[in-house]
Amino acid sequence: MYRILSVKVIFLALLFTVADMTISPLFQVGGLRFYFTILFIFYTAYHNGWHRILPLSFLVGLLRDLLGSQLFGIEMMSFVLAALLLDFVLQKMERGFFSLWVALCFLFTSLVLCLELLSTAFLTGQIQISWYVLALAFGSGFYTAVAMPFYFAAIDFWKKRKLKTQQQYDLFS
Amino acid sequence: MTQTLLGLKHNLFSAWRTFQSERTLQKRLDVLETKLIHFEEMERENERLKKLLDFKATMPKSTRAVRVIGQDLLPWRKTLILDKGSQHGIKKNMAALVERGLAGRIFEVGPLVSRALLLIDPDSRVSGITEVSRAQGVVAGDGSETLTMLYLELDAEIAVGEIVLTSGIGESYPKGIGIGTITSIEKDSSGLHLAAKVKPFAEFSKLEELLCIEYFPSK
Repeated sequence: MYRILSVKVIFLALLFTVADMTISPLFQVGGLRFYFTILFIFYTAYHNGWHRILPLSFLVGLLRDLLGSQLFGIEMMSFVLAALLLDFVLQKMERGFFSLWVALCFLFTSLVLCLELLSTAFLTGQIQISWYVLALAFGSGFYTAVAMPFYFAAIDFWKKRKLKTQQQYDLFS
Repeated sequence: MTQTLLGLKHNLFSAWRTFQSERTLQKRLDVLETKLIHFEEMERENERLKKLLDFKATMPKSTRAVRVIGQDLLPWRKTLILDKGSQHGIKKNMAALVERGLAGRIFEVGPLVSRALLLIDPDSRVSGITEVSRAQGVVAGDGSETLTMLYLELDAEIAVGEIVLTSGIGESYPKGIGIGTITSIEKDSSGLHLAAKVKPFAEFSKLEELLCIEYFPSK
Protein backbone atom coordinates (compact mmCIF):
# COMPACT_ATOMS: atom_id res chain seq x y z
CA MET A 1 0.00 0.00 0.00
CA TYR A 2 2.83 2.36 0.88
CA ARG A 3 4.60 1.82 -2.43
CA ILE A 4 1.41 2.23 -4.44
CA LEU A 5 0.43 5.52 -2.82
CA SER A 6 3.77 7.34 -2.87
CA VAL A 7 4.07 11.13 -2.55
CA LYS A 8 4.57 11.34 -6.34
CA VAL A 9 1.34 9.45 -7.01
CA ILE A 10 -0.58 11.62 -4.52
CA PHE A 11 0.83 14.76 -6.13
CA LEU A 12 -0.07 13.55 -9.64
CA ALA A 13 -3.58 12.58 -8.52
CA LEU A 14 -4.03 16.06 -7.03
CA LEU A 15 -2.70 17.67 -10.20
CA PHE A 16 -5.10 15.68 -12.39
CA THR A 17 -8.04 16.45 -10.08
CA VAL A 18 -7.32 20.16 -10.51
CA ALA A 19 -6.97 19.57 -14.28
CA ASP A 20 -10.45 17.94 -14.23
CA MET A 21 -11.86 21.17 -12.81
CA THR A 22 -9.93 23.67 -14.91
CA ILE A 23 -8.69 22.13 -18.18
CA SER A 24 -11.27 19.42 -18.87
CA PRO A 25 -14.21 21.92 -19.15
CA LEU A 26 -12.35 23.59 -22.03
CA PHE A 27 -12.72 20.38 -24.05
CA GLN A 28 -16.39 19.96 -23.13
CA VAL A 29 -18.64 18.79 -25.98
CA GLY A 30 -22.36 19.35 -25.39
CA GLY A 31 -21.95 18.99 -21.63
CA LEU A 32 -19.84 15.81 -21.97
CA ARG A 33 -16.48 15.80 -20.19
CA PHE A 34 -13.51 13.48 -20.00
CA TYR A 35 -11.67 12.86 -16.77
CA PHE A 36 -7.90 13.14 -16.38
CA THR A 37 -8.12 11.39 -13.00
CA ILE A 38 -9.74 8.26 -14.48
CA LEU A 39 -7.22 8.21 -17.33
CA PHE A 40 -4.45 8.55 -14.75
CA ILE A 41 -5.85 5.54 -12.82
CA PHE A 42 -6.03 3.48 -16.01
CA TYR A 43 -2.56 4.51 -17.20
CA THR A 44 -1.03 3.46 -13.88
CA ALA A 45 -3.02 0.21 -13.82
CA TYR A 46 -2.14 -0.59 -17.46
CA HIS A 47 1.58 -0.17 -16.88
CA ASN A 48 1.92 -1.31 -13.27
CA GLY A 49 -0.81 -3.86 -12.72
CA TRP A 50 -4.58 -4.07 -12.25
CA HIS A 51 -4.21 -4.38 -8.45
CA ARG A 52 -3.49 -0.63 -8.33
CA ILE A 53 -7.01 0.24 -9.42
CA LEU A 54 -8.49 0.00 -5.92
CA PRO A 55 -6.04 2.14 -3.88
CA LEU A 56 -5.84 4.69 -6.69
CA SER A 57 -9.63 4.87 -6.93
CA PHE A 58 -9.76 5.46 -3.18
CA LEU A 59 -7.18 8.25 -3.42
CA VAL A 60 -8.79 9.95 -6.42
CA GLY A 61 -12.26 9.67 -4.84
CA LEU A 62 -10.97 11.25 -1.63
CA LEU A 63 -9.31 14.13 -3.49
CA ARG A 64 -12.41 14.74 -5.60
CA ASP A 65 -14.48 14.77 -2.41
CA LEU A 66 -12.14 17.31 -0.84
CA LEU A 67 -12.11 19.61 -3.89
CA GLY A 68 -15.66 19.06 -5.14
CA SER A 69 -18.92 20.58 -3.94
CA GLN A 70 -21.06 17.47 -3.41
CA LEU A 71 -21.77 15.61 -0.17
CA PHE A 72 -18.47 14.36 1.30
CA GLY A 73 -17.91 10.66 0.69
CA ILE A 74 -20.04 10.23 -2.44
CA GLU A 75 -17.09 10.42 -4.85
CA MET A 76 -14.90 8.11 -2.76
CA MET A 77 -17.69 5.57 -2.34
CA SER A 78 -18.52 5.61 -6.06
CA PHE A 79 -14.91 5.22 -7.17
CA VAL A 80 -14.17 2.38 -4.73
CA LEU A 81 -17.44 0.57 -5.52
CA ALA A 82 -16.86 0.85 -9.27
CA ALA A 83 -13.31 -0.48 -8.87
CA LEU A 84 -14.52 -3.39 -6.71
CA LEU A 85 -17.35 -4.26 -9.09
CA LEU A 86 -15.12 -4.15 -12.15
CA ASP A 87 -12.45 -6.19 -10.38
CA PHE A 88 -15.03 -8.79 -9.34
CA VAL A 89 -16.49 -9.08 -12.84
CA LEU A 90 -13.12 -9.23 -14.60
CA GLN A 91 -11.24 -11.54 -12.23
CA LYS A 92 -10.76 -14.30 -14.77
CA MET A 93 -10.52 -12.19 -17.87
CA GLU A 94 -7.33 -11.69 -19.87
CA ARG A 95 -6.72 -7.94 -20.03
CA GLY A 96 -3.86 -7.94 -22.54
CA PHE A 97 -5.53 -6.10 -25.41
CA PHE A 98 -5.50 -2.31 -25.41
CA SER A 99 -8.99 -2.14 -26.95
CA LEU A 100 -10.27 -4.09 -23.94
CA TRP A 101 -8.72 -1.46 -21.66
CA VAL A 102 -10.54 1.26 -23.62
CA ALA A 103 -13.80 -0.64 -23.09
CA LEU A 104 -12.96 -1.04 -19.38
CA CYS A 105 -12.32 2.71 -19.16
CA PHE A 106 -15.79 3.37 -20.64
CA LEU A 107 -17.38 0.92 -18.19
CA PHE A 108 -15.50 2.32 -15.20
CA THR A 109 -16.27 5.99 -15.96
CA SER A 110 -19.94 5.29 -16.68
CA LEU A 111 -20.20 3.17 -13.54
CA VAL A 112 -18.59 5.85 -11.35
CA LEU A 113 -20.88 8.56 -12.73
CA CYS A 114 -24.00 6.37 -12.43
CA LEU A 115 -23.13 5.48 -8.83
CA GLU A 116 -22.58 9.17 -8.07
CA LEU A 117 -25.88 9.98 -9.68
CA LEU A 118 -27.74 7.28 -7.75
CA SER A 119 -26.14 8.13 -4.41
CA THR A 120 -26.77 11.88 -4.90
CA ALA A 121 -30.39 11.20 -5.86
CA PHE A 122 -31.11 8.86 -2.95
CA LEU A 123 -28.96 10.39 -0.21
CA THR A 124 -29.54 14.07 -0.85
CA GLY A 125 -32.52 14.18 -3.22
CA GLN A 126 -30.80 17.06 -5.03
CA ILE A 127 -31.15 15.57 -8.48
CA GLN A 128 -33.80 13.61 -10.33
CA ILE A 129 -32.67 10.71 -12.45
CA SER A 130 -33.64 11.51 -16.02
CA TRP A 131 -32.60 10.42 -19.50
CA TYR A 132 -30.63 13.65 -19.78
CA VAL A 133 -28.37 12.99 -16.78
CA LEU A 134 -28.01 9.31 -17.71
CA ALA A 135 -26.94 10.39 -21.20
CA LEU A 136 -24.41 12.74 -19.59
CA ALA A 137 -23.01 9.86 -17.49
CA PHE A 138 -22.66 7.38 -20.36
CA GLY A 139 -21.62 10.09 -22.83
CA SER A 140 -18.83 11.24 -20.50
CA GLY A 141 -17.78 7.58 -20.14
CA PHE A 142 -17.58 7.28 -23.91
CA TYR A 143 -15.68 10.57 -24.23
CA THR A 144 -13.15 9.49 -21.56
CA ALA A 145 -12.63 6.17 -23.38
CA VAL A 146 -12.11 8.02 -26.69
CA ALA A 147 -9.57 10.33 -25.01
CA MET A 148 -7.69 7.37 -23.50
CA PRO A 149 -5.38 6.51 -26.49
CA PHE A 150 -4.45 10.20 -26.87
CA TYR A 151 -3.72 10.52 -23.15
CA PHE A 152 -1.59 7.34 -23.17
CA ALA A 153 0.34 8.54 -26.26
CA ALA A 154 0.95 11.98 -24.72
CA ILE A 155 2.20 10.54 -21.41
CA ASP A 156 4.38 7.96 -23.21
CA PHE A 157 5.86 10.70 -25.39
CA TRP A 158 6.57 12.89 -22.34
CA LYS A 159 8.13 9.99 -20.42
CA LYS A 160 10.31 9.04 -23.40
CA ARG A 161 11.57 12.62 -23.72
CA LYS A 162 12.28 12.72 -20.00
CA LEU A 163 14.21 9.44 -20.26
CA LYS A 164 16.29 10.73 -23.20
CA THR A 165 17.44 13.78 -21.30
CA GLN A 166 18.70 11.64 -18.41
CA GLN A 167 22.32 10.52 -18.31
CA GLN A 168 23.03 6.81 -18.59
CA TYR A 169 24.29 6.59 -15.02
CA ASP A 170 21.12 8.30 -13.73
CA LEU A 171 19.12 5.26 -14.73
CA PHE A 172 21.03 3.06 -12.29
CA SER A 173 21.11 5.45 -9.39
CA MET B 1 35.70 30.69 -66.92
CA THR B 2 36.83 32.56 -63.81
CA GLN B 3 34.03 35.06 -64.37
CA THR B 4 31.48 32.24 -64.62
CA LEU B 5 32.76 30.61 -61.42
CA LEU B 6 32.71 33.95 -59.60
CA GLY B 7 29.20 34.57 -60.87
CA LEU B 8 28.08 31.12 -59.73
CA LYS B 9 29.66 31.68 -56.30
CA HIS B 10 27.94 35.06 -56.05
CA ASN B 11 24.61 33.51 -57.02
CA LEU B 12 25.02 30.70 -54.52
CA PHE B 13 25.80 33.16 -51.72
CA SER B 14 22.90 35.31 -52.70
CA ALA B 15 20.56 32.28 -52.76
CA TRP B 16 21.83 31.24 -49.32
CA ARG B 17 21.28 34.77 -47.97
CA THR B 18 17.76 34.79 -49.42
CA PHE B 19 17.09 31.41 -47.83
CA GLN B 20 18.42 32.65 -44.47
CA SER B 21 16.43 35.87 -44.64
CA GLU B 22 13.29 33.89 -45.59
CA ARG B 23 13.77 31.73 -42.51
CA THR B 24 14.25 34.79 -40.30
CA LEU B 25 11.18 36.44 -41.78
CA GLN B 26 9.13 33.25 -41.33
CA LYS B 27 10.14 33.17 -37.65
CA ARG B 28 9.16 36.81 -37.24
CA LEU B 29 5.87 36.10 -39.01
CA ASP B 30 5.15 33.23 -36.59
CA VAL B 31 5.89 35.50 -33.61
CA LEU B 32 3.68 38.25 -35.03
CA GLU B 33 0.85 35.82 -35.78
CA THR B 34 0.98 34.57 -32.18
CA LYS B 35 0.91 38.17 -30.98
CA LEU B 36 -2.02 38.92 -33.27
CA ILE B 37 -4.01 36.01 -31.84
CA HIS B 38 -3.17 37.28 -28.35
CA PHE B 39 -4.29 40.82 -29.26
CA GLU B 40 -7.51 39.57 -30.81
CA GLU B 41 -8.25 37.61 -27.64
CA MET B 42 -7.47 40.73 -25.58
CA GLU B 43 -9.78 42.77 -27.77
CA ARG B 44 -12.62 40.28 -27.26
CA GLU B 45 -11.98 40.26 -23.50
CA ASN B 46 -11.90 44.05 -23.52
CA GLU B 47 -15.28 44.14 -25.23
CA ARG B 48 -16.79 41.70 -22.72
CA LEU B 49 -15.38 43.64 -19.76
CA LYS B 50 -16.60 46.94 -21.22
CA LYS B 51 -20.13 45.54 -21.45
CA LEU B 52 -19.83 44.28 -17.87
CA LEU B 53 -18.57 47.69 -16.78
CA ASP B 54 -21.49 49.45 -18.48
CA PHE B 55 -23.80 47.05 -16.70
CA LYS B 56 -21.96 47.65 -13.41
CA ALA B 57 -22.59 51.39 -13.76
CA THR B 58 -26.33 50.73 -13.67
CA MET B 59 -26.03 48.80 -10.39
CA PRO B 60 -26.59 50.86 -7.27
CA LYS B 61 -25.10 48.24 -4.93
CA SER B 62 -21.50 47.33 -4.22
CA THR B 63 -20.13 45.08 -6.99
CA ARG B 64 -17.10 42.85 -7.59
CA ALA B 65 -15.97 41.53 -10.97
CA VAL B 66 -14.71 37.94 -10.93
CA ARG B 67 -13.21 35.59 -13.48
CA VAL B 68 -14.27 31.96 -13.99
CA ILE B 69 -11.33 29.60 -13.41
CA GLY B 70 -13.00 26.20 -13.21
CA GLN B 71 -16.13 24.08 -13.11
CA ASP B 72 -17.58 21.34 -10.95
CA LEU B 73 -16.32 17.79 -11.41
CA LEU B 74 -19.70 16.26 -12.23
CA PRO B 75 -21.29 16.99 -15.62
CA TRP B 76 -24.79 17.55 -14.21
CA ARG B 77 -23.68 19.89 -11.40
CA LYS B 78 -23.59 23.46 -12.67
CA THR B 79 -21.23 25.31 -10.38
CA LEU B 80 -18.28 27.52 -11.23
CA ILE B 81 -15.02 28.20 -9.43
CA LEU B 82 -14.21 31.91 -9.30
CA ASP B 83 -10.84 33.61 -8.90
CA LYS B 84 -11.80 35.80 -5.92
CA GLY B 85 -12.72 34.97 -2.33
CA SER B 86 -13.42 36.61 1.02
CA GLN B 87 -10.09 38.47 0.88
CA HIS B 88 -11.40 40.32 -2.19
CA GLY B 89 -14.78 41.14 -0.69
CA ILE B 90 -16.80 38.19 -1.99
CA LYS B 91 -19.53 37.08 0.40
CA LYS B 92 -21.86 34.11 0.53
CA ASN B 93 -25.23 34.62 -1.24
CA MET B 94 -24.03 37.49 -3.43
CA ALA B 95 -25.88 37.48 -6.76
CA ALA B 96 -23.74 36.64 -9.80
CA LEU B 97 -24.69 38.49 -12.97
CA VAL B 98 -23.66 38.76 -16.60
CA GLU B 99 -24.45 41.79 -18.77
CA ARG B 100 -27.65 40.19 -20.05
CA GLY B 101 -29.06 39.08 -16.71
CA LEU B 102 -28.82 36.77 -13.74
CA ALA B 103 -26.36 33.84 -13.78
CA GLY B 104 -26.54 32.48 -10.22
CA ARG B 105 -25.33 33.14 -6.70
CA ILE B 106 -22.23 32.63 -4.57
CA PHE B 107 -22.72 29.59 -2.34
CA GLU B 108 -19.25 28.85 -0.98
CA VAL B 109 -16.51 31.32 -0.15
CA GLY B 110 -12.87 30.59 0.59
CA PRO B 111 -10.16 33.15 1.29
CA LEU B 112 -8.87 33.21 -2.31
CA VAL B 113 -11.52 31.46 -4.40
CA SER B 114 -15.28 31.04 -4.28
CA ARG B 115 -17.96 28.92 -5.92
CA ALA B 116 -21.06 30.11 -7.75
CA LEU B 117 -24.20 28.04 -8.12
CA LEU B 118 -25.67 28.64 -11.58
CA LEU B 119 -29.39 29.03 -12.22
CA ILE B 120 -29.43 25.80 -14.23
CA ASP B 121 -28.06 23.68 -11.36
CA PRO B 122 -30.61 21.15 -9.98
CA ASP B 123 -30.17 22.83 -6.55
CA SER B 124 -30.95 26.34 -7.73
CA ARG B 125 -34.27 28.04 -6.86
CA VAL B 126 -35.03 31.72 -7.55
CA SER B 127 -38.21 33.60 -6.88
CA GLY B 128 -39.34 35.05 -10.21
CA ILE B 129 -42.07 37.29 -11.60
CA THR B 130 -43.27 37.71 -15.19
CA GLU B 131 -42.77 41.18 -16.63
CA VAL B 132 -46.25 41.92 -18.01
CA SER B 133 -48.73 39.62 -16.23
CA ARG B 134 -46.87 39.89 -12.86
CA ALA B 135 -47.39 36.19 -12.13
CA GLN B 136 -45.06 34.91 -9.43
CA GLY B 137 -43.35 31.53 -9.34
CA VAL B 138 -40.16 29.73 -8.53
CA VAL B 139 -37.54 29.42 -11.26
CA ALA B 140 -35.71 26.10 -10.91
CA GLY B 141 -32.85 24.46 -12.75
CA ASP B 142 -32.60 20.77 -13.65
CA GLY B 143 -29.05 20.47 -14.96
CA SER B 144 -30.03 21.09 -18.59
CA GLU B 145 -29.70 24.41 -20.42
CA THR B 146 -33.33 25.46 -19.78
CA LEU B 147 -35.11 26.58 -16.61
CA THR B 148 -38.60 25.81 -15.35
CA MET B 149 -40.86 28.36 -13.67
CA LEU B 150 -42.91 26.39 -11.15
CA TYR B 151 -46.00 27.00 -8.99
CA LEU B 152 -47.68 29.49 -11.34
CA GLU B 153 -51.41 29.98 -10.69
CA LEU B 154 -53.68 28.13 -13.14
CA ASP B 155 -55.39 31.40 -14.09
CA ALA B 156 -52.15 33.33 -14.52
CA GLU B 157 -52.26 35.23 -17.83
CA ILE B 158 -48.75 34.46 -18.88
CA ALA B 159 -47.73 34.20 -22.52
CA VAL B 160 -44.93 32.63 -24.51
CA GLY B 161 -42.20 35.23 -25.12
CA GLU B 162 -42.81 37.06 -21.85
CA ILE B 163 -39.73 38.01 -19.86
CA VAL B 164 -39.15 36.58 -16.37
CA LEU B 165 -37.46 38.82 -13.80
CA THR B 166 -36.31 38.32 -10.21
CA SER B 167 -39.09 39.19 -7.77
CA GLY B 168 -36.80 40.48 -5.01
CA ILE B 169 -38.14 37.96 -2.49
CA GLY B 170 -35.33 36.28 -0.58
CA GLU B 171 -31.92 37.39 0.46
CA SER B 172 -29.76 37.04 -2.62
CA TYR B 173 -31.30 38.67 -5.64
CA PRO B 174 -32.39 42.29 -6.10
CA LYS B 175 -35.75 42.89 -7.80
CA GLY B 176 -36.01 43.29 -11.57
CA ILE B 177 -32.99 41.42 -12.89
CA GLY B 178 -33.68 39.52 -16.11
CA ILE B 179 -33.71 35.74 -15.89
CA GLY B 180 -34.99 34.63 -19.30
CA THR B 181 -37.90 34.32 -21.73
CA ILE B 182 -40.85 31.92 -21.50
CA THR B 183 -40.76 29.39 -24.35
CA SER B 184 -43.65 27.05 -23.43
CA ILE B 185 -46.39 26.70 -20.83
CA GLU B 186 -48.12 23.55 -19.57
CA LYS B 187 -49.82 22.15 -16.45
CA ASP B 188 -47.42 20.57 -13.96
CA SER B 189 -47.64 16.86 -13.00
CA SER B 190 -50.06 17.53 -10.10
CA GLY B 191 -52.38 19.55 -12.35
CA LEU B 192 -52.71 22.23 -9.66
CA HIS B 193 -50.27 24.73 -11.13
CA LEU B 194 -48.79 25.84 -14.41
CA ALA B 195 -45.14 25.24 -15.23
CA ALA B 196 -43.35 27.34 -17.84
CA LYS B 197 -40.11 26.54 -19.63
CA VAL B 198 -37.75 29.51 -19.55
CA LYS B 199 -34.82 30.09 -21.88
CA PRO B 200 -32.22 31.89 -19.74
CA PHE B 201 -30.58 35.12 -20.93
CA ALA B 202 -27.15 34.02 -19.71
CA GLU B 203 -25.22 31.64 -21.94
CA PHE B 204 -23.96 29.28 -19.26
CA SER B 205 -21.51 27.40 -21.46
CA LYS B 206 -19.72 30.63 -22.37
CA LEU B 207 -19.34 32.33 -19.00
CA GLU B 208 -15.89 33.85 -18.49
CA GLU B 209 -16.47 36.84 -16.21
CA LEU B 210 -19.21 37.57 -13.69
CA LEU B 211 -20.28 40.55 -11.66
CA CYS B 212 -21.09 39.79 -8.03
CA ILE B 213 -23.44 42.20 -6.30
CA GLU B 214 -24.16 42.54 -2.65
CA TYR B 215 -27.82 42.56 -1.76
CA PHE B 216 -28.82 41.64 1.76
CA PRO B 217 -32.07 43.55 2.42
CA SER B 218 -32.72 42.23 5.91
CA LYS B 219 -29.24 43.10 7.23
